[in-house]
Amino acid sequence: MRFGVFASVLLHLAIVGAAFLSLPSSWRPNVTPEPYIPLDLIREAELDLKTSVPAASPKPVEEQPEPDIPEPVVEEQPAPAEEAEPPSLPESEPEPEPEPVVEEPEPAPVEPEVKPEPPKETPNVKPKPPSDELDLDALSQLIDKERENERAEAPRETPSQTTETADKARAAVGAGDRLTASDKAKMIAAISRCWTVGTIIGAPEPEKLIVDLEFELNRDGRLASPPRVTNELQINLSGNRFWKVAQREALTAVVKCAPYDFLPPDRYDDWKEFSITFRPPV
Amino acid sequence: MKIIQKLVLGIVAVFFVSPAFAQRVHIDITQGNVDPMPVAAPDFLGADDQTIALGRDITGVIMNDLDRSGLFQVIDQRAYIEKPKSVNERPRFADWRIINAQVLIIGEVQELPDGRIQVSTRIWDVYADEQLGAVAFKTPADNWRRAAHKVSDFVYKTLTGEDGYFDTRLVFVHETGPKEKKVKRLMIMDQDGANPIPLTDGLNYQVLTPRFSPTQQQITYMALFDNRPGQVYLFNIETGEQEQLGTFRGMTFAPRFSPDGRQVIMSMERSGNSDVFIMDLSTRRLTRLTDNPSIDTSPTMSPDGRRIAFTSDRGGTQQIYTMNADGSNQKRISFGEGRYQTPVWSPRGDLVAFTRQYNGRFYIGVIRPDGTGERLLTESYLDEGPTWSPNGRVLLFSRQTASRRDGTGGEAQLWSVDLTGRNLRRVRTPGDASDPAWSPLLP
Repeated sequence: MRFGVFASVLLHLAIVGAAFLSLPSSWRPNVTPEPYIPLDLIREAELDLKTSVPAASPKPVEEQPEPDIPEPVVEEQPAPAEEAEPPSLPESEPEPEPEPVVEEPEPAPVEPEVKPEPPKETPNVKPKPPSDELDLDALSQLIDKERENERAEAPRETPSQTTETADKARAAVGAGDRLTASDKAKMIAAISRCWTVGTIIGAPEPEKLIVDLEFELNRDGRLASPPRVTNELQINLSGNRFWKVAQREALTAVVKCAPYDFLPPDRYDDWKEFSITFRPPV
Repeated sequence: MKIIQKLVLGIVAVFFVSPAFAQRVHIDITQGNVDPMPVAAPDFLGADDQTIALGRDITGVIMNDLDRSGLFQVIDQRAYIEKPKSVNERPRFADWRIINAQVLIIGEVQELPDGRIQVSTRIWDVYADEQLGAVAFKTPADNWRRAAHKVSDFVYKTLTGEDGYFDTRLVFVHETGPKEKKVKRLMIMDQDGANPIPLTDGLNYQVLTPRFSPTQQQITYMALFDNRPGQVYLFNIETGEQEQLGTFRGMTFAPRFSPDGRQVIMSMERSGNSDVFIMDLSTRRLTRLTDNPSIDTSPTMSPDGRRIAFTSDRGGTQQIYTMNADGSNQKRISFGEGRYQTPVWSPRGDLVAFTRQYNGRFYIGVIRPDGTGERLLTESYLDEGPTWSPNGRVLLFSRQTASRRDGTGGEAQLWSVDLTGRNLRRVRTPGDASDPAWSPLLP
């Protein structure tokens, strides 16, 4: 009896242990991992750079106190230099830039040097805006250089790139065994746009000229092989030349609109095979 | 352990099977792009100045034909990247795909030793990288227009499956003179408006409702006289001969040929009553088809020659009726409000076009011969007298603008529309025109 109890406990433990080890892995549902949405922390100055709206007008106001407050000037000057304000950013831009970089560790001896420069510059600044003889080309070139320098310093994505990443990462959460309605709608819209029906709708009984196609796609949305017409035999046997025209137009529609690069590549298994039925409108 | 694991796994797997293979996604496409198909047509090639110039003219005519059909849009030649060197060479399809051409037409004009020219063409499918068709026509050099139209017909047939209608002519009533005293004469021209030629200059009568014979270069029309009732005449286009169809006491009008060209159906009026008759052109025997106190007129025969559609007001208003070619089984097919006039059976047999008048407006419409599917295609102050293209895809009709009090307006023009109601456009004529008739495809 003791042996029996012992054996029973051992077997129970064995079963529980086996269940503990194997069941969790087999019961775990097939859930796609949570979409990864990359976040990018940017400074306010960079936000201004990314958006297409030019910087707010207070910038020229900021430049007025420049001669009065040397130190803040040293730091602020690069900021207005980045914004796209041609009239208020004369050729003196590059000059202050290297200076703060070099002189920051020694602000004290620098100040007297910095001071005379901004006052020197502001007289340059002031007459310039009123005069209409601004060399805007030179100004724009300078500004572009500023932007390019910025970009060279810290490579960052353009706004469109960030939104695209966000779109691609925003996949449906849940059972991923079906193409989402929006992806299907995009596919329908793309193919409909490329399907020329003008030559078919004048035919007698165009609603009967139905064409069934099948094709496979690569991960980048390109056609893996030429599309196949699954009811080709029926079309050939009918001898209906309008139907053959409809068949040709359906094939052209699929080929013309490839590659279908708007489909999410991380759910490739859901959309790698398509079957399409073209029904000409009456 | 392993066995238990496997057993447990096996039991679990039965309940938690997820599809191991991706299912084929099925979608239905029910809407398409009705914009015209983009087509590229570089100038036809030639070996010397004369053939190059001919090639350019021929391409111009083809481009015009295809554009006017509303189904194709010829891409401006300035956008073309590749310059084809020979009609037998395979084109660089990528160059044509970039400019979004779906179809490419390459052609060549060659001088033959007997003085004629040979016009050859290849049609390429740019996206499938293959040839769709090739054709060559031999013709005297001054007949190049007809060769160009024949190429257009070939392109049309290859791309739509339907016979073309470009190598055809139009006959119409040309009007000149002040509104009160209009001089009407018959004129014939190519369907694209080229080569207008007057036909009935010097005749002492006015001509109404001309109609083409489907088999010969012959027209039938109603001749209007000042001192006696109008009569149906036959007119030979090539010789200019005219002859009266027969001597009848009453007025004969609204004539049309049968599909085999051997008979003419028309209306004859006797003591105020009009009925439909048919006359055999060889025996000149007249057979009555309707016998009704109402006004039965405007007969038109189906392309298989088995049925006739006509208008009758036996139901109170003018409506469309059909009957067998021997006059039996007469039944009404239109039931809308207003008046239905001038029915014309499509050469394809699937539709009957008509003029409908309702609430002071005129409409050109089509209806299936069984009375279903009535569709109105145009509307205006005055649209009437539709005539079908030989392939039953396009309708030509007269449109008249309202006369204004200051004396302007009141112009009559020819307009065309396709059977889906699209591509409404004016047909160029020298001066005012009405009562058009479309010839069959020229041989």
